[in-house]
Amino acid sequence: MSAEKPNWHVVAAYLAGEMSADEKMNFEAWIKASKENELLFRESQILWKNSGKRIQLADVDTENEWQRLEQKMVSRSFFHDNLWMKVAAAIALLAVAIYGLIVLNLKDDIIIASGDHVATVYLPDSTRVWLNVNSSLVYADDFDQEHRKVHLKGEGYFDVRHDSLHKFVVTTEDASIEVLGTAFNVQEDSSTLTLSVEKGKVLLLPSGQKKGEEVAAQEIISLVNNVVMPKKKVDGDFSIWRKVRNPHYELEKSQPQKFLNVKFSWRKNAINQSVVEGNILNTASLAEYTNIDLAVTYSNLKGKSKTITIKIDGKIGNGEKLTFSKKLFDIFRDTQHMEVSVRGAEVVQ
Amino acid sequence: MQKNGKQDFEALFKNYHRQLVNLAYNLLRDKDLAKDVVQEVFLKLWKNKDELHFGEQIHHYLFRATVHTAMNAIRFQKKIVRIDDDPVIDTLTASEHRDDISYTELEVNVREAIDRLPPKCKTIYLLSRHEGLKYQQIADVLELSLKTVENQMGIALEKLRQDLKPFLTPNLLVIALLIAFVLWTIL
Repeated sequence: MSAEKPNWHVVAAYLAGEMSADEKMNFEAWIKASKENELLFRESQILWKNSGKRIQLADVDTENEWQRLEQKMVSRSFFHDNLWMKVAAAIALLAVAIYGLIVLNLKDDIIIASGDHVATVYLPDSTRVWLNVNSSLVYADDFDQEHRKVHLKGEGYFDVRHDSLHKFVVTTEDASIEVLGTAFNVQEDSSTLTLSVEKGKVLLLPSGQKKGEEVAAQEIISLVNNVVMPKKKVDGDFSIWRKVRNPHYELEKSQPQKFLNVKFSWRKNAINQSVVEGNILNTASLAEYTNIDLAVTYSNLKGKSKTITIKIDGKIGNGEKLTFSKKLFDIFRDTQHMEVSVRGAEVVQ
Repeated sequence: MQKNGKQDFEALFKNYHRQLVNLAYNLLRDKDLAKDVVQEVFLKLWKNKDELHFGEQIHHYLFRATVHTAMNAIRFQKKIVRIDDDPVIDTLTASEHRDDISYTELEVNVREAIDRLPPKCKTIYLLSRHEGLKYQQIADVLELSLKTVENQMGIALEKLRQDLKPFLTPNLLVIALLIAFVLWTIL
Protein backbone atom coordinates (compact mmCIF):
# COMPACT_ATOMS: atom_id res chain seq x y z
CA MET A 1 0.00 0.00 0.00
CA SER A 2 1.60 3.28 -1.04
CA ALA A 3 1.40 6.45 0.99
CA GLU A 4 0.18 8.52 -1.95
CA LYS A 5 -2.90 6.54 -2.76
CA PRO A 6 -4.23 4.43 0.08
CA ASN A 7 -6.18 1.25 -0.53
CA TRP A 8 -9.34 2.15 1.26
CA HIS A 9 -10.71 -1.37 1.27
CA VAL A 10 -7.65 -2.41 3.26
CA VAL A 11 -8.24 0.34 5.82
CA ALA A 12 -11.91 -0.70 6.03
CA ALA A 13 -10.96 -4.37 6.40
CA TYR A 14 -8.65 -3.50 9.29
CA LEU A 15 -11.30 -1.46 11.08
CA ALA A 16 -13.94 -4.13 10.46
CA GLY A 17 -11.72 -6.84 11.90
CA GLU A 18 -11.55 -8.70 8.60
CA MET A 19 -7.79 -9.23 8.54
CA SER A 20 -5.60 -12.15 9.44
CA ALA A 21 -2.82 -11.67 12.01
CA ASP A 22 -0.19 -11.29 9.24
CA GLU A 23 -2.27 -8.79 7.33
CA LYS A 24 -2.79 -6.80 10.51
CA MET A 25 0.92 -6.67 11.17
CA ASN A 26 1.62 -5.45 7.63
CA PHE A 27 -1.08 -2.82 7.89
CA GLU A 28 0.17 -1.57 11.27
CA ALA A 29 3.64 -1.27 9.76
CA TRP A 30 2.15 0.78 6.94
CA ILE A 31 0.50 3.11 9.47
CA LYS A 32 3.83 3.76 11.16
CA ALA A 33 5.63 4.27 7.84
CA SER A 34 4.69 7.95 7.56
CA LYS A 35 2.87 10.83 9.25
CA GLU A 36 0.44 10.94 6.32
CA ASN A 37 -0.45 7.29 6.74
CA GLU A 38 -0.96 7.81 10.45
CA LEU A 39 -3.20 10.82 9.89
CA LEU A 40 -5.24 9.00 7.29
CA PHE A 41 -5.72 6.06 9.60
CA ARG A 42 -6.65 8.25 12.57
CA GLU A 43 -9.27 10.06 10.49
CA SER A 44 -10.69 6.76 9.28
CA GLN A 45 -10.78 5.51 12.83
CA ILE A 46 -12.71 8.61 13.94
CA LEU A 47 -15.23 8.03 11.15
CA TRP A 48 -15.55 4.39 12.07
CA LYS A 49 -16.11 5.13 15.76
CA ASN A 50 -18.67 7.83 15.03
CA SER A 51 -20.79 5.77 12.67
CA GLY A 52 -21.75 2.98 15.03
CA LYS A 53 -25.04 4.22 16.45
CA ARG A 54 -28.26 3.05 14.86
CA ILE A 55 -31.19 5.42 14.71
CA GLN A 56 -33.93 3.98 16.89
CA LEU A 57 -37.44 5.18 16.19
CA ALA A 58 -39.32 6.08 19.34
CA ASP A 59 -42.66 4.76 18.16
CA VAL A 60 -43.07 2.13 15.47
CA ASP A 61 -46.82 1.58 16.11
CA THR A 62 -46.49 -2.17 16.48
CA GLU A 63 -50.10 -2.60 17.59
CA ASN A 64 -51.56 -0.62 14.68
CA GLU A 65 -49.18 -2.25 12.25
CA TRP A 66 -50.31 -5.67 13.45
CA GLN A 67 -53.93 -4.69 12.80
CA ARG A 68 -52.98 -3.47 9.34
CA LEU A 69 -51.25 -6.75 8.60
CA GLU A 70 -54.13 -8.74 10.03
CA GLN A 71 -56.53 -7.10 7.57
CA LYS A 72 -54.32 -8.16 4.70
CA MET A 73 -54.05 -11.68 6.09
CA VAL A 74 -57.76 -12.28 6.66
CA SER A 75 -58.72 -12.99 3.09
CA ARG A 76 -55.96 -15.56 2.72
CA SER A 77 -56.15 -17.42 6.00
CA PHE A 78 -59.77 -18.46 5.54
CA PHE A 79 -58.89 -20.50 2.51
CA HIS A 80 -55.40 -21.50 3.54
CA ASP A 81 -56.40 -23.15 6.80
CA ASN A 82 -58.90 -25.51 5.32
CA LEU A 83 -58.24 -27.94 2.50
CA TRP A 84 -61.95 -28.51 1.84
CA MET A 85 -62.50 -24.79 1.69
CA LYS A 86 -59.75 -24.57 -0.87
CA VAL A 87 -61.39 -27.23 -3.00
CA ALA A 88 -64.84 -25.71 -2.58
CA ALA A 89 -63.51 -22.25 -3.34
CA ALA A 90 -61.70 -23.52 -6.43
CA ILE A 91 -64.85 -25.22 -7.71
CA ALA A 92 -66.95 -22.17 -6.93
CA LEU A 93 -64.48 -19.86 -8.65
CA LEU A 94 -64.33 -22.11 -11.67
CA ALA A 95 -68.10 -22.25 -11.87
CA VAL A 96 -68.41 -18.47 -11.56
CA ALA A 97 -65.67 -17.93 -14.13
CA ILE A 98 -67.30 -20.28 -16.65
CA TYR A 99 -70.71 -18.74 -15.98
CA GLY A 100 -69.31 -15.27 -16.37
CA LEU A 101 -67.29 -15.99 -19.46
CA ILE A 102 -69.69 -18.17 -21.38
CA VAL A 103 -73.14 -17.12 -20.27
CA LEU A 104 -72.92 -13.50 -19.25
CA ASN A 105 -69.53 -12.40 -20.53
CA LEU A 106 -69.17 -10.32 -17.33
CA LYS A 107 -66.64 -7.52 -17.02
CA ASP A 108 -64.26 -7.63 -14.04
CA ASP A 109 -65.28 -4.23 -12.74
CA ILE A 110 -66.89 -3.10 -9.53
CA ILE A 111 -69.12 -0.08 -9.98
CA ILE A 112 -70.32 2.09 -7.13
CA ALA A 113 -72.93 4.73 -7.93
CA SER A 114 -74.06 7.19 -5.29
CA GLY A 115 -77.51 8.01 -6.68
CA ASP A 116 -79.20 10.85 -4.79
CA HIS A 117 -77.20 10.46 -1.55
CA VAL A 118 -73.57 10.98 -0.67
CA ALA A 119 -71.94 7.56 -0.41
CA THR A 120 -69.04 6.60 1.86
CA VAL A 121 -66.97 3.84 0.31
CA TYR A 122 -64.03 1.82 1.61
CA LEU A 123 -61.73 0.39 -1.02
CA PRO A 124 -59.90 -2.91 -0.46
CA ASP A 125 -56.71 -1.08 0.59
CA SER A 126 -58.63 0.86 3.30
CA THR A 127 -58.68 4.05 1.23
CA ARG A 128 -61.83 6.00 2.04
CA VAL A 129 -63.86 7.71 -0.66
CA TRP A 130 -66.88 9.98 -0.39
CA LEU A 131 -68.91 10.09 -3.58
CA ASN A 132 -71.07 13.14 -4.15
CA VAL A 133 -74.61 12.65 -5.46
CA ASN A 134 -74.93 11.37 -9.02
CA SER A 135 -71.32 10.25 -9.12
CA SER A 136 -69.76 6.86 -9.69
CA LEU A 137 -66.55 5.04 -9.00
CA VAL A 138 -65.29 2.04 -10.95
CA TYR A 139 -62.41 -0.24 -10.05
CA ALA A 140 -61.27 -3.66 -11.19
CA ASP A 141 -62.09 -6.56 -8.94
CA ASP A 142 -58.36 -7.32 -8.76
CA PHE A 143 -57.87 -3.96 -7.07
CA ASP A 144 -55.29 -4.71 -4.41
CA GLN A 145 -52.12 -3.37 -2.91
CA GLU A 146 -50.37 -3.51 -6.27
CA HIS A 147 -53.10 -2.21 -8.57
CA ARG A 148 -54.60 0.79 -6.85
CA LYS A 149 -56.50 2.35 -9.74
CA VAL A 150 -60.04 3.76 -9.83
CA HIS A 151 -62.09 5.63 -12.41
CA LEU A 152 -64.26 8.54 -11.26
CA LYS A 153 -67.27 10.19 -12.82
CA GLY A 154 -68.71 13.22 -11.03
CA GLU A 155 -67.20 14.31 -7.72
CA GLY A 156 -65.28 12.39 -5.10
CA TYR A 157 -63.18 13.09 -2.03
CA PHE A 158 -60.32 10.62 -1.55
CA ASP A 159 -58.53 9.90 1.72
CA VAL A 160 -55.89 7.58 0.34
CA ARG A 161 -54.29 4.94 2.55
CA HIS A 162 -50.58 5.61 2.55
CA ASP A 163 -48.54 2.92 0.85
CA SER A 164 -45.11 4.06 -0.24
CA LEU A 165 -44.62 1.08 -2.50
CA HIS A 166 -47.84 1.27 -4.50
CA LYS A 167 -49.19 4.48 -5.94
CA PHE A 168 -52.90 5.20 -6.10
CA VAL A 169 -54.29 6.48 -9.40
CA VAL A 170 -57.63 8.20 -10.05
CA THR A 171 -58.57 8.47 -13.72
CA THR A 172 -61.29 10.68 -15.15
CA GLU A 173 -62.31 11.44 -18.71
CA ASP A 174 -59.76 14.25 -18.93
CA ALA A 175 -56.87 13.37 -16.66
CA SER A 176 -55.30 11.03 -14.19
CA ILE A 177 -54.20 11.89 -10.68
CA GLU A 178 -51.37 10.00 -8.99
CA VAL A 179 -50.65 9.84 -5.29
CA LEU A 180 -49.10 7.59 -2.67
CA GLY A 181 -51.18 8.66 0.29
CA THR A 182 -53.02 11.93 0.82
CA ALA A 183 -56.47 13.56 0.81
CA PHE A 184 -57.96 15.46 -2.10
CA ASN A 185 -61.18 16.28 -3.91
CA VAL A 186 -61.88 15.77 -7.61
CA GLN A 187 -64.86 17.33 -9.37
CA GLU A 188 -65.48 16.89 -13.07
CA ASP A 189 -68.21 17.95 -15.41
CA SER A 190 -68.40 17.99 -19.20
CA SER A 191 -65.45 20.32 -19.81
CA THR A 192 -63.86 21.14 -16.46
CA LEU A 193 -62.00 19.12 -13.88
CA THR A 194 -61.25 20.72 -10.52
CA LEU A 195 -58.71 19.19 -8.18
CA SER A 196 -58.43 20.48 -4.60
CA VAL A 197 -55.79 19.05 -2.28
CA GLU A 198 -56.29 18.98 1.47
CA LYS A 199 -53.04 17.33 2.57
CA GLY A 200 -49.97 15.82 0.92
CA LYS A 201 -49.19 16.37 -2.75
CA VAL A 202 -50.71 14.92 -5.89
CA LEU A 203 -49.72 14.86 -9.54
CA LEU A 204 -52.28 15.86 -12.17
CA LEU A 205 -51.63 14.32 -15.58
CA PRO A 206 -53.96 15.67 -18.31
CA SER A 207 -54.93 13.04 -20.90
CA GLY A 208 -52.40 12.69 -23.69
CA GLN A 209 -49.76 14.75 -21.89
CA LYS A 210 -46.55 13.34 -20.49
CA LYS A 211 -45.74 16.17 -18.12
CA GLY A 212 -47.84 16.48 -15.01
CA GLU A 213 -48.65 19.35 -12.70
CA GLU A 214 -47.82 18.93 -9.04
CA VAL A 215 -50.49 20.23 -6.69
CA ALA A 216 -49.65 20.76 -3.01
CA ALA A 217 -51.81 20.88 0.10
CA GLN A 218 -54.35 23.71 0.19
CA GLU A 219 -53.98 24.32 -3.54
CA ILE A 220 -56.68 24.11 -6.18
CA ILE A 221 -56.21 23.61 -9.91
CA SER A 222 -58.59 23.38 -12.85
CA LEU A 223 -58.36 21.66 -16.19
CA VAL A 224 -60.63 23.33 -18.73
CA ASN A 225 -60.95 21.61 -22.11
CA ASN A 226 -57.69 19.79 -21.38
CA VAL A 227 -55.86 23.08 -20.64
CA VAL A 228 -54.30 23.44 -17.19
CA MET A 229 -55.29 26.68 -15.47
CA PRO A 230 -52.99 28.44 -12.94
CA LYS A 231 -53.02 27.04 -9.42
CA LYS A 232 -54.78 28.98 -6.68
CA LYS A 233 -54.95 28.78 -2.90
CA VAL A 234 -57.98 26.93 -1.56
CA ASP A 235 -60.68 29.34 -0.48
CA GLY A 236 -63.37 27.86 1.77
CA ASP A 237 -64.25 24.26 2.51
CA PHE A 238 -64.29 22.42 -0.82
CA SER A 239 -65.46 19.17 0.74
CA ILE A 240 -68.45 20.49 2.71
CA TRP A 241 -70.71 18.60 0.31
CA ARG A 242 -69.76 15.40 2.12
CA LYS A 243 -72.03 16.43 5.01
CA VAL A 244 -75.10 17.07 2.89
CA ARG A 245 -77.54 14.28 2.02
CA ASN A 246 -75.16 11.81 3.59
CA PRO A 247 -76.99 9.10 5.56
CA HIS A 248 -73.78 7.93 7.20
CA TYR A 249 -73.03 11.41 8.53
CA GLU A 250 -76.63 11.69 9.79
CA LEU A 251 -76.03 8.49 11.75
CA GLU A 252 -72.80 9.89 13.16
CA LYS A 253 -74.71 12.98 14.30
CA SER A 254 -77.66 11.15 15.82
CA GLN A 255 -75.82 8.27 17.48
CA PRO A 256 -72.42 9.47 18.75
CA GLN A 257 -72.29 6.48 21.13
CA LYS A 258 -71.68 4.22 18.14
CA PHE A 259 -68.66 6.19 17.00
CA LEU A 260 -67.02 7.13 20.29
CA ASN A 261 -65.08 4.18 21.68
CA VAL A 262 -64.10 4.38 25.32
CA LYS A 263 -61.17 2.57 26.92
CA PHE A 264 -60.53 3.00 30.61
CA SER A 265 -58.84 1.62 33.69
CA TRP A 266 -59.44 2.32 37.34
CA ARG A 267 -57.63 1.94 40.64
CA LYS A 268 -57.94 2.94 44.25
CA ASN A 269 -55.44 5.58 45.32
CA ALA A 270 -53.71 6.04 48.68
CA ILE A 271 -56.83 7.48 50.31
CA ASN A 272 -59.12 4.72 48.95
CA GLN A 273 -60.50 6.97 46.25
CA SER A 274 -61.25 5.44 42.83
CA VAL A 275 -59.35 7.06 39.97
CA VAL A 276 -60.78 6.42 36.50
CA GLU A 277 -58.48 7.13 33.56
CA GLY A 278 -58.93 6.42 29.90
CA ASN A 279 -59.38 7.73 26.43
CA ILE A 280 -62.12 8.22 23.87
CA LEU A 281 -61.45 7.43 20.22
CA ASN A 282 -63.55 9.08 17.53
CA THR A 283 -64.13 6.47 14.82
CA ALA A 284 -66.61 8.60 12.84
CA SER A 285 -65.67 9.37 9.27
CA LEU A 286 -66.76 13.02 9.29
CA ALA A 287 -68.30 14.07 12.60
CA GLU A 288 -66.20 15.90 15.16
CA TYR A 289 -67.57 15.75 18.68
CA THR A 290 -67.50 18.00 21.71
CA ASN A 291 -69.24 18.25 25.12
CA ILE A 292 -69.13 14.51 25.59
CA ASP A 293 -71.09 13.09 28.51
CA LEU A 294 -69.57 9.98 30.01
CA ALA A 295 -71.64 7.84 32.36
CA VAL A 296 -69.49 6.27 35.06
CA THR A 297 -71.23 3.49 36.98
CA TYR A 298 -69.49 1.94 39.94
CA SER A 299 -70.78 -0.79 42.21
CA ASN A 300 -69.74 -2.56 45.39
CA LEU A 301 -69.64 -6.26 46.28
CA LYS A 302 -73.36 -6.33 47.07
CA GLY A 303 -74.09 -5.00 43.60
CA LYS A 304 -75.24 -1.61 44.84
CA SER A 305 -74.36 0.81 42.09
CA LYS A 306 -74.11 4.54 41.58
CA THR A 307 -73.82 6.47 38.33
CA ILE A 308 -72.27 9.88 37.84
CA THR A 309 -71.76 11.90 34.67
CA ILE A 310 -68.43 13.34 33.58
CA LYS A 311 -68.59 16.19 31.11
CA ILE A 312 -65.69 16.47 28.68
CA ASP A 313 -65.67 19.73 26.79
CA GLY A 314 -62.65 19.11 24.51
CA LYS A 315 -63.06 18.54 20.79
CA ILE A 316 -62.26 15.21 19.10
CA GLY A 317 -61.65 15.12 15.35
CA ASN A 318 -61.90 12.03 13.17
CA GLY A 319 -59.51 9.33 14.23
CA GLU A 320 -58.36 11.39 17.24
CA LYS A 321 -58.19 10.40 20.88
CA LEU A 322 -59.06 12.43 23.95
CA THR A 323 -57.86 11.38 27.37
CA PHE A 324 -59.80 11.80 30.58
CA SER A 325 -59.20 11.27 34.27
CA LYS A 326 -61.63 11.53 37.17
CA LYS A 327 -61.46 10.93 40.91
CA LEU A 328 -64.67 9.58 42.41
CA PHE A 329 -66.11 10.34 45.86
CA ASP A 330 -66.15 6.73 46.96
CA ILE A 331 -63.63 6.78 49.79
CA PHE A 332 -65.98 4.91 52.08
CA ARG A 333 -67.22 2.42 49.44
CA ASP A 334 -65.63 -0.89 48.58
CA THR A 335 -65.98 -0.29 44.85
CA GLN A 336 -65.50 -3.57 43.00
CA HIS A 337 -66.76 -2.88 39.52
CA MET A 338 -66.69 0.08 37.16
CA GLU A 339 -68.31 0.80 33.81
CA VAL A 340 -67.81 3.84 31.58
CA SER A 341 -69.94 4.58 28.53
CA VAL A 342 -70.81 7.51 26.30
CA ARG A 343 -74.14 9.00 27.19
CA GLY A 344 -74.20 11.71 24.60
CA ALA A 345 -72.15 14.23 22.64
CA GLU A 346 -72.58 17.28 20.46
CA VAL A 347 -71.41 17.44 16.88
CA VAL A 348 -69.17 20.37 16.00
CA GLN A 349 -70.91 22.23 13.20
CA MET B 1 -44.55 -22.58 10.78
CA GLN B 2 -46.86 -25.35 9.59
CA LYS B 3 -48.43 -26.14 12.93
CA ASN B 4 -48.31 -22.61 14.19
CA GLY B 5 -51.45 -20.59 14.12
CA LYS B 6 -52.30 -16.96 14.00
CA GLN B 7 -51.48 -16.42 17.67
CA ASP B 8 -47.91 -17.61 17.17
CA PHE B 9 -47.64 -15.46 14.09
CA GLU B 10 -48.86 -12.44 16.03
CA ALA B 11 -46.32 -13.13 18.76
CA LEU B 12 -43.59 -13.45 16.14
CA PHE B 13 -44.66 -10.16 14.54
CA LYS B 14 -44.73 -8.31 17.84
CA ASN B 15 -41.40 -9.77 18.86
CA TYR B 16 -39.53 -8.66 15.75
CA HIS B 17 -41.51 -5.67 14.49
CA ARG B 18 -39.57 -2.88 16.21
CA GLN B 19 -36.20 -4.40 15.38
CA LEU B 20 -37.05 -4.88 11.70
CA VAL B 21 -38.66 -1.45 11.26
CA ASN B 22 -35.55 0.12 12.74
CA LEU B 23 -33.35 -1.96 10.44
CA ALA B 24 -35.37 -0.90 7.38
CA TYR B 25 -35.53 2.71 8.62
CA ASN B 26 -31.75 2.92 8.92
CA LEU B 27 -31.41 1.70 5.34
CA LEU B 28 -34.23 3.81 3.88
CA ARG B 29 -34.56 6.85 6.19
CA ASP B 30 -38.31 6.88 5.52
CA LYS B 31 -40.52 5.81 8.40
CA ASP B 32 -43.63 4.95 6.37
CA LEU B 33 -41.63 3.11 3.76
CA ALA B 34 -39.81 1.15 6.48
CA LYS B 35 -43.14 0.08 7.97
CA ASP B 36 -44.45 -0.92 4.54
CA VAL B 37 -41.34 -2.99 3.94
CA VAL B 38 -41.85 -4.90 7.18
CA GLN B 39 -45.54 -5.40 6.31
CA GLU B 40 -44.49 -6.97 3.00
CA VAL B 41 -42.00 -9.25 4.73
CA PHE B 42 -44.56 -10.60 7.18
CA LEU B 43 -47.34 -10.84 4.61
CA LYS B 44 -45.09 -12.96 2.42
CA LEU B 45 -44.18 -15.09 5.41
CA TRP B 46 -47.86 -15.58 6.22
CA LYS B 47 -48.69 -16.49 2.62
CA ASN B 48 -45.97 -19.12 2.60
CA LYS B 49 -46.35 -20.30 6.16
CA ASP B 50 -47.21 -23.86 5.14
CA GLU B 51 -44.14 -24.26 2.98
CA LEU B 52 -41.58 -22.62 5.22
CA HIS B 53 -39.89 -24.38 8.12
CA PHE B 54 -37.47 -22.11 9.88
CA GLY B 55 -37.38 -23.08 13.52
CA GLU B 56 -34.54 -21.21 15.12
CA GLN B 57 -33.55 -19.71 11.77
CA ILE B 58 -36.57 -17.40 11.61
CA HIS B 59 -34.47 -14.47 12.80
CA HIS B 60 -32.11 -14.88 9.85
CA TYR B 61 -35.00 -15.18 7.41
CA LEU B 62 -36.70 -12.02 8.70
CA PHE B 63 -33.45 -10.08 8.74
CA ARG B 64 -32.54 -11.15 5.22
CA ALA B 65 -36.05 -10.61 3.84
CA THR B 66 -36.20 -7.11 5.35
CA VAL B 67 -32.87 -6.12 3.84
CA HIS B 68 -33.91 -7.54 0.45
CA THR B 69 -37.30 -5.87 0.46
CA ALA B 70 -35.72 -2.58 1.52
CA MET B 71 -33.23 -2.83 -1.35
CA ASN B 72 -36.11 -3.53 -3.76
CA ALA B 73 -37.94 -0.54 -2.35
CA ILE B 74 -34.91 1.65 -3.06
CA ARG B 75 -34.88 0.43 -6.67
CA PHE B 76 -38.63 1.02 -6.97
CA GLN B 77 -38.35 4.47 -5.44
CA LYS B 78 -35.91 5.40 -8.20
CA LYS B 79 -38.48 4.58 -10.86
CA ILE B 80 -41.36 6.62 -9.52
CA VAL B 81 -41.60 10.29 -8.75
CA ARG B 82 -42.14 10.57 -5.03
CA ILE B 83 -44.58 13.35 -4.54
CA ASP B 84 -46.12 13.01 -1.13
CA ASP B 85 -43.18 12.60 1.18
CA ASP B 86 -41.27 15.36 2.80
CA PRO B 87 -37.90 15.41 1.05
CA VAL B 88 -36.14 16.87 4.04
CA ILE B 89 -33.98 14.24 5.62
CA ASP B 90 -34.75 13.70 9.28
CA THR B 91 -32.00 14.61 11.60
CA LEU B 92 -30.89 12.48 14.44
CA THR B 93 -32.09 15.07 16.87
CA ALA B 94 -35.69 14.96 15.63
CA SER B 95 -38.32 14.07 18.18
CA GLU B 96 -39.31 10.86 16.45
CA HIS B 97 -36.11 9.25 17.60
CA ARG B 98 -35.53 7.64 20.93
CA ASP B 99 -34.42 10.10 23.48
CA ASP B 100 -32.32 7.60 25.38
CA ILE B 101 -29.65 7.80 22.68
CA SER B 102 -27.73 11.01 22.28
CA TYR B 103 -25.60 11.95 19.31
CA THR B 104 -22.58 14.18 19.11
CA GLU B 105 -22.37 16.76 16.34
CA LEU B 106 -19.81 14.63 14.55
CA GLU B 107 -22.06 11.57 14.76
CA VAL B 108 -24.89 13.56 13.20
CA ASN B 109 -22.60 14.72 10.39
CA VAL B 110 -21.30 11.20 9.83
CA ARG B 111 -24.85 9.83 9.71
CA GLU B 112 -25.88 12.43 7.14
CA ALA B 113 -22.83 11.56 5.06
CA ILE B 114 -23.73 7.85 5.24
CA ASP B 115 -27.18 8.71 3.92
CA ARG B 116 -25.53 10.40 0.94
CA LEU B 117 -23.68 7.23 -0.03
CA PRO B 118 -24.97 5.23 -3.02
CA PRO B 119 -27.68 2.78 -1.82
CA LYS B 120 -25.69 -0.45 -2.20
CA CYS B 121 -22.61 1.08 -0.64
CA LYS B 122 -24.64 2.47 2.25
CA THR B 123 -26.42 -0.83 2.88
CA ILE B 124 -23.15 -2.76 2.98
CA TYR B 125 -21.53 -0.22 5.30
CA LEU B 126 -24.50 -0.21 7.68
CA LEU B 127 -24.77 -3.99 7.74
CA SER B 128 -21.15 -4.11 8.76
CA ARG B 129 -21.13 -1.19 11.16
CA HIS B 130 -24.61 -1.40 12.72
CA GLU B 131 -25.51 -5.04 12.46
CA GLY B 132 -22.00 -6.32 13.07
CA LEU B 133 -22.10 -8.67 10.09
CA LYS B 134 -18.89 -10.15 8.76
CA TYR B 135 -18.07 -9.51 5.10
CA GLN B 136 -19.02 -13.07 4.13
CA GLN B 137 -22.39 -12.73 5.88
CA ILE B 138 -23.07 -9.45 4.06
CA ALA B 139 -22.18 -11.12 0.77
CA ASP B 140 -24.63 -13.95 1.55
CA VAL B 141 -27.47 -11.66 2.60
CA LEU B 142 -27.14 -9.38 -0.43
CA GLU B 143 -26.16 -12.18 -2.81
CA LEU B 144 -22.95 -10.43 -3.80
CA SER B 145 -19.37 -11.60 -4.12
CA LEU B 146 -17.01 -11.18 -1.19
CA LYS B 147 -14.82 -8.96 -3.39
CA THR B 148 -17.73 -6.58 -4.06
CA VAL B 149 -18.37 -6.24 -0.34
CA GLU B 150 -14.69 -5.51 0.33
CA ASN B 151 -14.53 -2.91 -2.43
CA GLN B 152 -17.80 -1.25 -1.43
CA MET B 153 -16.61 -0.95 2.17
CA GLY B 154 -13.49 0.80 0.89
CA ILE B 155 -15.54 3.10 -1.32
CA ALA B 156 -17.80 3.95 1.62
CA LEU B 157 -14.88 4.85 3.85
CA GLU B 158 -13.19 6.92 1.13
CA LYS B 159 -16.36 8.86 0.32
CA LEU B 160 -17.11 9.48 3.99
CA ARG B 161 -13.61 10.85 4.53
CA GLN B 162 -13.87 13.11 1.50
CA ASP B 163 -17.26 14.31 2.60
CA LEU B 164 -16.29 14.90 6.22
CA LYS B 165 -12.72 16.13 5.80
CA PRO B 166 -13.45 19.56 7.36
CA PHE B 167 -14.79 17.87 10.50
CA LEU B 168 -11.87 15.47 10.87
CA THR B 169 -8.86 17.74 10.50
CA PRO B 170 -8.66 20.81 12.69
CA ASN B 171 -8.55 23.92 10.60
CA LEU B 172 -4.92 25.10 10.54
CA LEU B 173 -5.95 28.70 10.20
CA VAL B 174 -8.08 28.47 13.33
CA ILE B 175 -5.20 26.86 15.23
CA ALA B 176 -2.78 29.55 14.05
CA LEU B 177 -5.20 32.27 15.15
CA LEU B 178 -5.65 30.60 18.53
CA ILE B 179 -1.87 30.40 19.05
CA ALA B 180 -1.52 34.04 18.00
CA PHE B 181 -4.29 35.03 20.42
CA VAL B 182 -2.66 33.10 23.32
CA LEU B 183 0.75 34.63 22.59
CA TRP B 184 -0.76 38.11 22.35
CA THR B 185 -2.49 37.77 25.74
CA ILE B 186 0.71 36.43 27.39
CA LEU B 187 3.02 39.03 25.98
